[in-house]
Amino acid sequence: MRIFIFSAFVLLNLILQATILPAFTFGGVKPDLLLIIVVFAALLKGTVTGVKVGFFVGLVQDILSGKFIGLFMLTKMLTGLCVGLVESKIFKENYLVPIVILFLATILHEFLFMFFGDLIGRTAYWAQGWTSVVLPLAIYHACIGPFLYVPAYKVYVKWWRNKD
Amino acid sequence: MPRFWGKGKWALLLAAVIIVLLIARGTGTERASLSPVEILFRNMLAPLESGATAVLGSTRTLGDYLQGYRDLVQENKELKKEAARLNEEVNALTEAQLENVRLRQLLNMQESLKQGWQSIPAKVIGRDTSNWYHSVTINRGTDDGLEKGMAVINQDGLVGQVISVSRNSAEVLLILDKDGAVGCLVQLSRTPGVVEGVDRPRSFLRMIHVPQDAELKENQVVVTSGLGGVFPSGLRVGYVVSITVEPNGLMKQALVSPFVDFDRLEEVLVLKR
Repeated sequence: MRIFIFSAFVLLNLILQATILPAFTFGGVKPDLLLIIVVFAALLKGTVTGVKVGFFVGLVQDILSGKFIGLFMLTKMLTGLCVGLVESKIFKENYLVPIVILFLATILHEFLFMFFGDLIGRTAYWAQGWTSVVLPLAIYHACIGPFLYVPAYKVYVKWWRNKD
Repeated sequence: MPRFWGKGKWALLLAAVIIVLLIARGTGTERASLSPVEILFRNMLAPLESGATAVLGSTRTLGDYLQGYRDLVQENKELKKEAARLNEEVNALTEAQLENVRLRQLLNMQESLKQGWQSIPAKVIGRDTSNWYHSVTINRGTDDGLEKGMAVINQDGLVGQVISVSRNSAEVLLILDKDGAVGCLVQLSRTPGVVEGVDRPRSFLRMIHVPQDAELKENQVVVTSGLGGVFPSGLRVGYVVSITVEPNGLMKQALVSPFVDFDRLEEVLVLKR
């Protein structure tokens, strides 16, 4: 049942990202809700969940985008993996820590996208990519992170923490 | 280390990464068609995207209605209701009028197309989910005769080309994308070059590979050259904003401001031979 609800939630976010979020562009970028889901899931539940959620969310995003199948799956999975590695070392109740991690995870994810994209033949402009996408997006995520983490943490405590 | 990192897992992870990269490499924008799974998924999502886009539009209308409602509540309830209703009506009419203007412009564009090109009208129902690709989803697909590689325009000029199609939707790679380069020429001097997207400034284009001795000036209009057969020749692309010398010192390049407002794309025409 939880998997079904989570899948519907991911789908909803995917549709929001494709339709409504372009209206919330700031500094030339729109927030990547799917990445935020992966980061928060990995932060709250650890490596294995981070990898699983990254795999699923990335694959869905790849299928919808219709370009370079597996690229988002790989980048989101590896981001989930790296964030999951620090899960046991942080205080989840301290809302500042996840925001810093979200900032760093965004930089990591976008770096991985540029790196792997470059490897498989996607045109990449490294210097411009950092200034026009990576940094603005990381800052944007850090700004909206607290508003999303607090409800995410509450949902985790109420529905997820002790249910496994 | 967590249990996940048991012995041999690193090698497994590396192998998985390489396999995924090979798959990704083989499924870039150049492939002939989407896989059945992608087509199924996109067919499923297209109506939902249409719905979400429609909801966004109606939210704006509701906002206008509420604003009118607040102003009129100071006078009296009856007048308020009447004014709100009229506001709604005026707003709907304005929307229809604006749409009419856009569609008329599209129609003019359609009529001005050279012989041999047919056009299929479509609405933009979604945008790419990432910040790395410049593409939009439109509500026409193979059912309407769309195919990969078809050019897409609107009343202002060239928009991009279809890169993948499902039954009821298609993905259009905008000319803003670095992978969406187009053969162009300067309208007056007929100087050829290639126009491609740039990351900064965003929403601008760059015309590259222009010969050093070519006559290139600011405000000159850039149009499609028609070479390659994807785009008809003479479609408006943008105008020259500034000119610089390419890093190799042999060629010139120009920053081009596109005529199309890509942030406000609503209706487009897909061109078919």
